[in-house]
Amino acid sequence: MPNPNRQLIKVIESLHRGLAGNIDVPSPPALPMRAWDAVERAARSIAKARQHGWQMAARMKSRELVARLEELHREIDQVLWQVVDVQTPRQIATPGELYLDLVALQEEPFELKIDTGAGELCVTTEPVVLEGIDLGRFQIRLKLERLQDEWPYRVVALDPAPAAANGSVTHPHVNDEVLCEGEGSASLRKALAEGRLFDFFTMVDRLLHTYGAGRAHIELDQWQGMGCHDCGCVVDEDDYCFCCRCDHVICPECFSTCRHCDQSVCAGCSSSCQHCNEVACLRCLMPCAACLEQLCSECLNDQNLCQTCYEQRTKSDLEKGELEEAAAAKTEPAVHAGGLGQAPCAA
Amino acid sequence: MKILFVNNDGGGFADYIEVAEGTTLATLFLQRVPHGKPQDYLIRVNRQPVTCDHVLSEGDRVSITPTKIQGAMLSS
Repeated sequence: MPNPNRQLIKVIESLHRGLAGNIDVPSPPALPMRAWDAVERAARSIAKARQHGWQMAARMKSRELVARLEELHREIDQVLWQVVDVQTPRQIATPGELYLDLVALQEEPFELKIDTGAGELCVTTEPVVLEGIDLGRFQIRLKLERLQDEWPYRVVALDPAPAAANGSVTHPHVNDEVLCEGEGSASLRKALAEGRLFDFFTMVDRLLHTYGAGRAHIELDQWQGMGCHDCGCVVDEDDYCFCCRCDHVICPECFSTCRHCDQSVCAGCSSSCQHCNEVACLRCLMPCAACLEQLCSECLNDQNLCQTCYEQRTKSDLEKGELEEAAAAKTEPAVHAGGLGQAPCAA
Repeated sequence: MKILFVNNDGGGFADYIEVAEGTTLATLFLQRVPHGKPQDYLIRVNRQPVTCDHVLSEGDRVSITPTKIQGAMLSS
């Protein structure tokens, strides 16, 4: 840290100002409405599945409901701790304690620096490796004069190795530089409100080094691979293929084979013949010259007509031919019945 | 004697408590985190790592932070 004393003093002044300014105006905690909404949605899904007799779906949704209720329970506990904490007189760190925290952070395996331009105190962690996946280092950037904001800090991936399905998810619990604090939320917020910077940064570091399976934005077993262009699922490197028309990655569930040219194609580059319903790529489908329905080569004849249009046209041609014959017959002279079979008259 | 005890587990606790003279860090941990294992926590005295037989002094700052804290996902 360049010129530590002067710079540190300014940082400490900013921090203490932010802490002291907030002591009489504690913000109320956010209620877990999203968690409650998730519980309601799961319950409605169960009701709908039961109504339709979808037993398997109802069982799956029941398991989901349990998970949602547990999450709601955790969030209610967090809010409760925060509410109790608001009612308890709070002590904030003195400038001396802030200084000692910053010095102690430098003695931990962190890299500490001050971004004066952005007004942020930055602590860089060691590389985070979760279940064999190296997510790189993360920098925790705390806004010095915005401690009362809902999100006074952000978590920036310095060596990004985001999930294949979503580039904003750089860590299972970090999306768009926002860390979901989970079971650390109450104590972490308390540490921040009281200016216990050493505790705050240590807890964020521990959160980043802990994987909460089943509660991640994207689970680690879905982290690597490629995202299917059609359904968005993550496909292992050994399982995906490419659409032969548009070169997009598709998963085994989404790819189709055109029965005419045998090429693998995605949903966007294929359709069904409107006559035989067989899947074909868009290049192997042609419109009927009469009704314009998209048909495969086997359902179109050499006049580019489907069977129905061909029969109609044939029938129409026959009728037209009969009419023409009838009209032609009317214009020829009649044979006189009185002159039939008689010998020619003598001169 | 009075020490500052900070427990960053659960809802968080940070306040001055009374402990007997000669109390070691291990004893304090057993009293305050009876169901926890020391190896599951980062334990610091005055922000420094110490051994479990460290004898506490008046005004010491003891902090206990879980090594594993599970995050979650924010609902969209």
